[in-house]
Amino acid sequence: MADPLEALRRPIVPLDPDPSFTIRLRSHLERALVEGDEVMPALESPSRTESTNVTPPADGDIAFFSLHVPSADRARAFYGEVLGWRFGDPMEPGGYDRIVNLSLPGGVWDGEGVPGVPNPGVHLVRHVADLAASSAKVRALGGTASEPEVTPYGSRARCTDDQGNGFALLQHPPGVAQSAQNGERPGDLAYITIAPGDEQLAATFYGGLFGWQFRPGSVEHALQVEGPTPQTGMWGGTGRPNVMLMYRVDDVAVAVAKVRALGGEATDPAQMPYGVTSDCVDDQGMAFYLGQL
Amino acid sequence: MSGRSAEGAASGGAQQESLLALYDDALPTVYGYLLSRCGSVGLAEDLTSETFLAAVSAVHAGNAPLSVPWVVGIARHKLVDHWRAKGREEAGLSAVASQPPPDDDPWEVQLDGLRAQQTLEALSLTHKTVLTLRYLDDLTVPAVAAELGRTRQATEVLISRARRAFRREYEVRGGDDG
Repeated sequence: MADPLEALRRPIVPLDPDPSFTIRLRSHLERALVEGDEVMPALESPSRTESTNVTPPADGDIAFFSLHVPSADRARAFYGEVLGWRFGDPMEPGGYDRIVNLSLPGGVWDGEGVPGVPNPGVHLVRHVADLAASSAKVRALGGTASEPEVTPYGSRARCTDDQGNGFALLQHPPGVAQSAQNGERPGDLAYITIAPGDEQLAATFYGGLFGWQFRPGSVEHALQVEGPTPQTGMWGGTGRPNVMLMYRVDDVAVAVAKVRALGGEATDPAQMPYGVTSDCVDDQGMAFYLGQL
Repeated sequence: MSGRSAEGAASGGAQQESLLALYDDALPTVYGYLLSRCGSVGLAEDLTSETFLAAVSAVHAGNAPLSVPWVVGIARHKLVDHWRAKGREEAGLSAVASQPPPDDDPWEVQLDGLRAQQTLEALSLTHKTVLTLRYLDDLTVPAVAAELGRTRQATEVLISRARRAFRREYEVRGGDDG
């Protein structure tokens, strides 16, 4: 009989820490290397990152996304299996269940709703360099912006656009880097489709707020957005507010089989110019899509 | 940098570049190792930071092999040191709780993953440490002994006690399926 405790074996699964921690520690090590034999204190302050060579996010880039769902536990189980998401402790009491192994942070949430974000639905938090100035622009463009709140991630304002779509602005701490256009690793956000209601109104609002440019897309009511990361498009064809995320996967066929096995729906994988995709709905009614890019 | 020769500083520069390259390579492995063993993001970040600072010290001392297994080895030391320091606080309690081990009868069971994890968390830090090294990390008994700075015989006794403590705790948690 084999030793039952052999089943405890846990091979190391590499996992990226929070990106801001990665940057802070690297900068700390650079200093420790240069400062010779001086004993360095343990890493504590995020303020010494000005020398690192990172491109900071532009206004409007995604800082954080969260899935608002009826059950966070079900979402954890579903996306953990389909996309390999792993979850860590919330950063504040009653906070989001954080996904800890993505290039761009994300979370799932089943608590109190946020104005203008449906459930199931997606809440997008966007970087800005100057929260007060951007909040004033939101109001001037016909939207709403709350007073700033201090969160573990930075100062944040909850907003709605002039069509009532909810989002948030976050004044990013120093040292945060711009994320990739289409994600980098499996499970990452690869593309965002915003159905704002009317796409022309949205182009005026978000163009005015963030300086985004727009080009006509491949179908009627579609606009390609030039500016934000991850890459973003708008589509007014549905006439109703909605955000749909595309997640990067290594193998769409494998992921589609998992979606179906877990009680979701998925179209057969289709070859597009940019990769293989499938349109899906999770087991709680949230629409998303998969991209093998 | 005072007192260091020009040649030393030059070769140190190359080592510094290598250490930062190793950091980029090894960070997810080190962090993944620590988070999966200690279960807390904050603690895993602290230990990751201590691990790479120790690697910097080794670079300064001029004896750093600069490989991923080497830095995972440092992370393991840091984890064991952390549990040991914390364990000293619990030492009084665990001395009272320790009992002579029962007869070694064979244990035939297929461990349930979640229950095994909860069992491990409920053990004394000494037992948790030795089982982590022997089973989760899959080290040999001599390697566990070296990590703990104990003799091989003492390590075997400790593993044996830890196994029994694990079994008792696991069975207590079993409820109906024993």
